[in-house]
Formats: sequence, structure tokens, C-alpha cells
Amino acid sequence: MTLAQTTLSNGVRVVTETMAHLATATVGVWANVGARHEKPSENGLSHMLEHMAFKGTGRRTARAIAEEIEAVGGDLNAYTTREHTVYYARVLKDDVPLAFDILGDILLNSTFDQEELERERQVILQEIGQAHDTPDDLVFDLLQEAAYPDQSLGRPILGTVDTVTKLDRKDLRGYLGRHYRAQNIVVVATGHVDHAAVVRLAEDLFGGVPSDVQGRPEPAVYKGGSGGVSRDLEQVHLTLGFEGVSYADDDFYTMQVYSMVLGGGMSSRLFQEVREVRGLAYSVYSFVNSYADGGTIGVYAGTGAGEMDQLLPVIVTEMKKIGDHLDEDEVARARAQLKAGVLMSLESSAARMEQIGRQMLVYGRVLPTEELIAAIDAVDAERVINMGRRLVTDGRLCFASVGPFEAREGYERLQDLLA
Amino acid sequence: MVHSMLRKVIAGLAFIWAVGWGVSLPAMAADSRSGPEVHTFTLNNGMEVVVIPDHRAPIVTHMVWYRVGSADEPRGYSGIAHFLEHLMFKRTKNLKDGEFSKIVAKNGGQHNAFTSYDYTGYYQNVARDRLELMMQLEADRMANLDLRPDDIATERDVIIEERRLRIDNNPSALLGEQMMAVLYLHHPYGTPVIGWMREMQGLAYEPVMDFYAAHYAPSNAILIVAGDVTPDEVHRLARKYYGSIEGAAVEPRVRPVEPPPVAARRVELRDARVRQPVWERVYTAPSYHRAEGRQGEALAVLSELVGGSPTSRLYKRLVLDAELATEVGTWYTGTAYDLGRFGIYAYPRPEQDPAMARASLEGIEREVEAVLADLIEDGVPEDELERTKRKLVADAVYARDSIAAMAQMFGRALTTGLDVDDVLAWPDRVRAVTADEVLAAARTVLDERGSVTGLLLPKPVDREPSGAGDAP
Repeated sequence: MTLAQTTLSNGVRVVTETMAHLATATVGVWANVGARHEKPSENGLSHMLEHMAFKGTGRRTARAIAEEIEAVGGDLNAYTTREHTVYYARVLKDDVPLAFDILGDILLNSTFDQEELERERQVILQEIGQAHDTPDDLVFDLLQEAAYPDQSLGRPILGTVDTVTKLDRKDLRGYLGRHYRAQNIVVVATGHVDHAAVVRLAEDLFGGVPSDVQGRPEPAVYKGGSGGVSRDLEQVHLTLGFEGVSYADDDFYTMQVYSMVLGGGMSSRLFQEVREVRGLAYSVYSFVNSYADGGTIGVYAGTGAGEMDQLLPVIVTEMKKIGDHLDEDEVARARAQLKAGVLMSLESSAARMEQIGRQMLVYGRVLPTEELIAAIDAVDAERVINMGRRLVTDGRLCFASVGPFEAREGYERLQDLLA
Repeated sequence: MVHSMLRKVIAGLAFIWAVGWGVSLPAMAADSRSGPEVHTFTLNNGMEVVVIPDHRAPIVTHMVWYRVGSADEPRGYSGIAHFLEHLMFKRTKNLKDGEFSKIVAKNGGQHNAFTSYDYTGYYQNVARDRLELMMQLEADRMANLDLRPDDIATERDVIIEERRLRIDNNPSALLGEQMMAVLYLHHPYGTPVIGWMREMQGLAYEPVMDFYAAHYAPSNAILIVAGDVTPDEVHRLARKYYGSIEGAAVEPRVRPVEPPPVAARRVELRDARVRQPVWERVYTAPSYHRAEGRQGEALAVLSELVGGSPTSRLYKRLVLDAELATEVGTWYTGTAYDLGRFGIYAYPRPEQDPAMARASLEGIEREVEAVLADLIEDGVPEDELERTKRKLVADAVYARDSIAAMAQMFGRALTTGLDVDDVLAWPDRVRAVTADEVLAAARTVLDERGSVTGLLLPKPVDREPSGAGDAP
């Protein structure tokens, strides 16, 4: 595997990782823009723009886009996160130029046809309905809002029925012009690719993108609180969280190890205590969300309404216990799991495209595997214990639930347990 | 926290079926001219071994598949195959409760298990030098499971929570479960893998251990190792750890035979939790194992062509032209030991008035039937056929990008009556499918009598206005 990087004269960065043993390639174009760059009235615009990219350009109708990639057996897709938007194609090795041509075209020359826009609006409204029907999706949106109230970072990626109904072509064009600037774009190609050829393709397509820099999004200010939807379900879906750290923080890997010990996989404390010993939940795990500035760390569980009284104290007790005692063996186990995750991601061109793109936008460079491993190895029990103590003693809580349960009640109960 | 486009979610649905739960697209190998290197051998005790060397990264996927799933459960004990899968992570004669997972984690492994109608599988992804340890652990629990009554009670609560989470909390999953129950008149595929709640609540120690003794033996298992290994090395280790297990003879699979269907069935689920109505239809269809000639491959082509992508016939008619739906798709479950399935689904455009939801689903149903009738009437043009086949064959090449996915494919195939050669020949067989074969498969399978149609609808909060009233 060979990694190479070139910056075009306008600032677009191009990174390749050649995996000559594969017969396929993955090409991704990353834009440093996502839901947190939206004004309140624009909520859902990043995601709508991503959808509309597939709906026709000056050269291709929506159908032609789908047919051309399909004709070579390729896949074309995209997704939007709170900070990034990613467009990518998976193709057989000889079709890399076509993948670039289509990606460049849909990103830079989309026409946002009115009829297509109306149709896509319906698709997105349906997607919002679907997310609302899926309690374990909804509960994470509610937690995000509780953690970052009245901020772009706290709003849903899909937007709301209200905002999505109002967004129009002018909004799409304005947003594209403001945010899709050369410094915000990273082109990544992995698999059976040649760096020089990829740079030439990228230069042809993205060499003309304007290069002045956009403003930054509003800073993330973690606040905490609670939010919920009371609904007649068989289970309560709950999440609780605390303020975490950014990607760049010295304690980023400490937090990853902490989360692994607490609720990462079948040997974790929560899995063993909540599921294996007490049978209180099928699904219980911890998670870390990091952003350019700040982040959250939390726990998700789904349980019967009658079991909430038992579950909440168990979660808090397990969190407190990490602050009291943690032996090096357990930390070594969590480190081993994280390191294996790094190692296993090396095999797939799609996984590498993801990693490289994200690292370029977050760190401005690709982190060598050895550096990642060393950073994970540097986390010892003492650092994890300190983090555990800090979270339960001066962490401001956020809590969300969906199901036959009052979120406010859960929040207050947890505050008492933490005190 | 990645939000994806809906069509990606839907496309993923079929993919998850294929990869996660083993009920859809066939085992796919790449083009036979540059297909994967696969070695097979059988241990003295009857355990089959498949090795897929791939040296791109120093990692290994180690899997043991048992030829037993929910369709092999005794009547009255639904969910017992899946329950046993959970219990296999408890203690053995050599390991304490929870120790299995701790050892795997300490060695940087990722591990899990899955249960379907026809198989149960266990896997670990680890660094290559930990393969021997994984074999030692997996062989130990094949022979030495040592459950206590306490383990049963706690883990039963876990599977009950799992059922609530996956099925009871999810109206669309509930509809799917009801549809399967009426689609199969007699075959145990009509029983949910996770089990019916009332029977799950009664699952006890003895029947679980009987099920383990009856089905978990080397002669009923397949070992699959993919990744940075050599066949010789795997042979040596497999003999050492699995070869010494004696295991009882396992009864051959004899299952109830599904009678020919004579009546189309309908299921309608109204649920206050539904905001997104869904129209679905599922037909019984020959599986790869039971199909004649290239019927299975023809059904895979048919599925892709009718509803596999934004250029498919259903998408064009329902989403673009008639603007009745925002999403539509098809799937074919060919990897089944007995009768497989062919399915179609559509999401209507969001409707402000819930009372109109039923009418909009009926509009979808008429349009879907018109598309199918046109296909059966007019046949399939060559260029459309070629484009579709090219897409399926390319998918087989992409599947080779993931070592774990390759191991999955072979496991699914080998536990549903196929062999390694069937998997390797799949792309060539797809290439050979003719328009007549697609048409013949469509005529045979798309017969309403062999189908169930499902409607998922919101429950009106107030009484429906007169004239639109169709509530039961």
C-alpha cells in the first residue's frame, strides 16, 4: 500500500492509497461542510444539496447519471454528517476516470431542476418521517439537541418538515457557492489507482474551483439538559451523555479507551453487568462523538419501562466504578480492541477512503498507522481513571428518551444518582 | 451518526439481508477466470473446512457454521436455535462466564454470532497470530458447553428484550413477521427466527441442552478461515483442535414440505406508531438449492431489473412517471435450504391525511401489477438484460474486497445445500442467463396465488371521516 498526496494550485488536496492487489477502486470527494454550517432557516440544506447532486447536471439528466455508473457496474452514493459531506463511487479499476467525471460533474454542474427538486423534497420529508418512526435514531437527535441547544450542532441533519418545505433553488446555489471552495475539498482515491493519473483527473475537474476561504461555523458550546418523546412503545430507548473532547484533544484516545472499557463490545463492563448478569437489556453500549471543537461521550440502552428503576443506577454505578478502580489488564484489553480496529480497516478500499478523507479534513494530514497505535498505547489506567472521575463529578449531564417514560424524570433521577 | 440518503438505506436493506442475516443475494464469487483461491478438505470426524487465503492485511476471519437454524427447531420451542447461540457465550467446562469474550478482546479480536432459518454461525476477526487461540476457544464450546440454570434465566430476559427491540417496537418488523407466518402454509420458515414471545418465555435448560447435543457436532459444522493464512497451516491447526472432537451422528434435515398455494393472501397492520406507510408483496420462489437449471440466477436478474436501482422499471414507473412512491425496490432470497422468496416494496409519497394512506397503497399496488404484467407480456430487451447482468457480475467482484464478506458468502452457501463450486460458478451462470429464462422465471414466480401482500398503515387517532372509513 502506497500513500501519496498532492495539493493543486487552488488548494484542493488530492490523496491516493494504491492497493494494487484489488481489482476495484473507491473514489471520494469530501467537502468540509455539514449540518453545523447551516443557519437556523437553512436546517437540512447540506443534506438536500447532497440529494440534489444526483438529480441532473448541464450534461446529464438524473437518469443518465444513474445509467452511466450502472453501465460499468459501479455504485455512486453520498452522505452528510454534522461537519462533512461525502460523495463517492466504487468502480472496477478501469473505470476510475468515469467515476471522476461523474463526481466532478454532479458536484460542480448540478442544475437543481425545479421538478426534480419537488420530487426530492418528498423523498426527504419521507426520510424525516422514517427517522421519527425509528426510536433508536430519534433518541440520538434528541440527545444532540439537549447537549447543544439552540445551536447548529444541535439540529438534525435531515432538517425539519418546516425548513425542508421552504428551502429552494436559490438556497441551494448560495450554499454551494459559499461552502464548496477549494480549501474545503479533499479528493481521495483508494484501491487499484495511480497517483499521477488521479492528480491529472482531479486537476481537470477541480482545478478551477475558487479558493477563498469561508467563515467558520459557530463554536460548539456544550450545555446539557434533557429531551424526550413519550410514546406507547414496548421499550424505552434512552441515551445519556456528558461533555467529551474534540478530535484534536490530547485526551481523544483516553476517551476512546474509556468508552471501550465502559461499553465497547461483549467484554465491556456495561455489557457484562447490564446484559449478562442482570438481563436488563439486549442492546447497551457507549459511544463517542467528536467534532472539530468539542464532543460528547455517552451510553445508549433499550429496556422495558419497568426496568428503568434498575437500569439507571446500574449505569451510574458502573461509571463511578471506573473512577474508583481500573487495572492495567482491563485497559490493555481495551487498547487491543482499538488497535485491532485500526488494523482491520486497512483491508478495504472503502474503509481507507473514509479514514483518509476524514483525517485530511480533521487533522490536515493522513495519520500513519504507527502513530495511531502509539497514541492508543500511550493511554494508561491512570489517565482513564482521571477521565472517569471527571465525567461523574463535574460532568454536565444530557439525557434523552423515546418510549413510555418522561425524559425529565430520567434526567433528574440521574442527577440524584450522580450527586 | 451518519445520516444517509434514503435510497442508500433501502439499497443497504438488501445488502444487510445478504451479508448480515444471510437471507438474500446469492453467494457471489468473482469472475471464475480470476476468482478467489479456495481450498477445501474434510476432517476425519466429518467437519468440513474451507480456506480462502488472502494476504492483503495480517488479519484472519475465523468462522464456524452449524447446519442448524430456526427451521430445525422442534415445534413448540420457537427461538431455541437463537437462544442457544446467545448461551454459547456463557461458560464451558474450561472457561468461566464472560471469560470467552474477555480473552477475545484481550487479543484484539472482534467477535459475534448470528442465527437464521438454516444456519447458526460464530466468528472472530483477529490478527493472524491469534488464529490458533480462536480455534482452541471455538472447539472448546463446540464440545464443552456447561450451562447453569441461572444462565438460562438471565439470558432469556436478554432475548426477550431483543425481541421487543427488533420486532415488537417496530411496526414494519411486525408486519414482516405476520407476512412470513401466512406466506408459508406449513414450512417452519413461517416461524420467526427470534421466536414467538410466549414460547420464548418458556425456553428452559433441558430442551436447550438437548438441542445443543443434537446439532452441535463436527459432522454438522463447517470451518471457514479467510485471510492471511496458508491451507497447510489451517489444516494442521484444524486437525489439532477440531479433529479430536468426537461428536454424535446428526440426524439428516427432514422438514415439512410446503404444499402448492391456492390462494393469494393479504395482511393489513394498522398501528398508531406508524408515520410511514409501506406496501409490500412477497412470493415464494425456488432457492438456488432447489431451483432447476439457471432459475435462481434468472430470479436474481429479474429482481435487479425490475426494482434493483434508480434505472429499474418499477422506479421509473412509480417514482418518476406516476409519482406515487418515493422509493421502491425488489429482492430475491436465493440462499435457502428449502423454498426461497421474491419480494417487492414501495413507500408512498408522504400524505398529509392519514385516511388517504390506504388509497395511496392501493394505487401503488395497481401500478406494480401493471409493471409486472407488461414484463410478462413483452419480455426483456437484450440491452436491458446485458446491463443488468453486468451489474450483478460487478457486484461479485466488489464482494471480494472484504475478507469477512467472502467468508460469509461461502458459509451461507454451504449451509443451504450448495457447494464451493456453485459459489465460484455463480458469475458465469449469471452471464449465461437468457431473456427467455428471465421471462420463464417471472411467469412461474410472480403468480399471485403464491404471494402475500402486506399493508402497513397508521392508525387514525380519531374516527375516520365517513366515506373513507375502512377501519376494521
